[in-house]
Amino acid sequence: MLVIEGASRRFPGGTVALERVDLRVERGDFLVLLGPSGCGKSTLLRLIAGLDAPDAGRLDWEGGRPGPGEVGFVFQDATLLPWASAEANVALPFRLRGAAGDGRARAALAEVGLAGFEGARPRALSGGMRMRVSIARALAPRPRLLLMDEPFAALDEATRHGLQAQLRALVAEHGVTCVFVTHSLYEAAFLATRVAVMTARPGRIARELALPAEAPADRLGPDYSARLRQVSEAVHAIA
Amino acid sequence: MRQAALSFALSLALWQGLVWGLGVPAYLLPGPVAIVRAFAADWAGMLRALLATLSVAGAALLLATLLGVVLAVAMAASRWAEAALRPWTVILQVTPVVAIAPLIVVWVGDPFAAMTVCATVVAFFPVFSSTAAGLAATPPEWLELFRLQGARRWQEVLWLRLPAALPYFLSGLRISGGLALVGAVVAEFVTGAGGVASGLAFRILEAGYRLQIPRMFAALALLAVAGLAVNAALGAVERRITAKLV
Repeated sequence: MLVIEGASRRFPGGTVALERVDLRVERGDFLVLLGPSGCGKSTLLRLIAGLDAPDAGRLDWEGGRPGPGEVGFVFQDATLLPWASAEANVALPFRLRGAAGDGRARAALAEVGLAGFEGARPRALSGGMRMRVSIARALAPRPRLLLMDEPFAALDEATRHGLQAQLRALVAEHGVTCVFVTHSLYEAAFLATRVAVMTARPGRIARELALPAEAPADRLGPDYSARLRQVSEAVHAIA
Repeated sequence: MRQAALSFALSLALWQGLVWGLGVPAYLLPGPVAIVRAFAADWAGMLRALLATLSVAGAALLLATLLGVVLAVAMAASRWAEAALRPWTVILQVTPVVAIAPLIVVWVGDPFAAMTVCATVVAFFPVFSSTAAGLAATPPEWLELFRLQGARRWQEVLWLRLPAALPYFLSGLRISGGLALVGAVVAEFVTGAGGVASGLAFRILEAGYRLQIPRMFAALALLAVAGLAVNAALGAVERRITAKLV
């Protein structure tokens, strides 16, 4: 379980990004962080990952801080090394720990539907394929916590829908706890089992919402509409 | 390419036409025809001199590259190393090689080694500063990715910063290639004046003393062609590698 209590972050120059953020993420949750631009969603994600430290408050992941390999992180950009093949990019976490990881990397690529693209360089892949390689790299070491910072924001609608469905299935299959940052109410309604809505800067958690764990059957049915209405009402209630 | 060749040929024709038309004597400004004749009269000697200059420039470029990359990596790996080395690299950059070349000749002794050291001083800075800039310009997301995986400092430098800096390094290498040639010629001027007869600079000096101005221009033309060739070769390497990387 991830527990955040009273976490604040003030940047040099005086900008207060986060103010007394309290949040609990249960094991297996798919938590979507929603909020306006600049409200500190990405800052909160970086605090959880250990890439930044809070000025006040505490973060606790299962009794301490997450260690290397416990956290998978997917950035807004796929952040693939352009000189390395798709397989080498996915195997990177293993190589950094002194293992080859080729078999795991190939399996992870197959899981995201990229079997046969092991040797492809990132520039030869589409934006959606690059993001799938990035997701494969994050999931290959079997992390317990997956953090995603607006990973689909730069993709077209059709690709985004495909990746959302694939991500939901992968997260369920791996049993990984996921914290996902987005601006999109539609994305939140489709992916989340819980939604946390943040206020404008300085960011705080203004509202939390639980959604049914089962994925909506499709995006035109009543399940999805009901989820979207719930998310929309939660967001507009604080606007 | 064809346009450049045509424009170059037209410039040469205009130059020759003006020299003939205005009756400019060869000891003031020889035309291209006189320069080609001077080259043809001693082409073997000229090419030997070019080879000597290119040997110095090549050795200097190799040394400058090794030194530049090693220092840039040391500075990227350690803040202490950066603080200690940065002022010396700037001092090396602003020191006029002509001023210290006679001292280097005395200190080093061997003429080839002395000329190589002088040319290295001239060629060092671009390859060093470009590599250092490249190592410092690694995208922060890539660095964070490595940090999240618990990468060690050497892994970050070797597997991330160095490959990411390669386009910068190649760009600096191209500039240093030209400067190594300039440095070799400057070094030869100093040692040539001291009696070491070898490279193109010595041929230029010798021709100048004897008022053989077309021969002097032939040596300069050969130097220009060598510079263009070095630049083109390093440019081709840069394009080939960068295309594979990015």
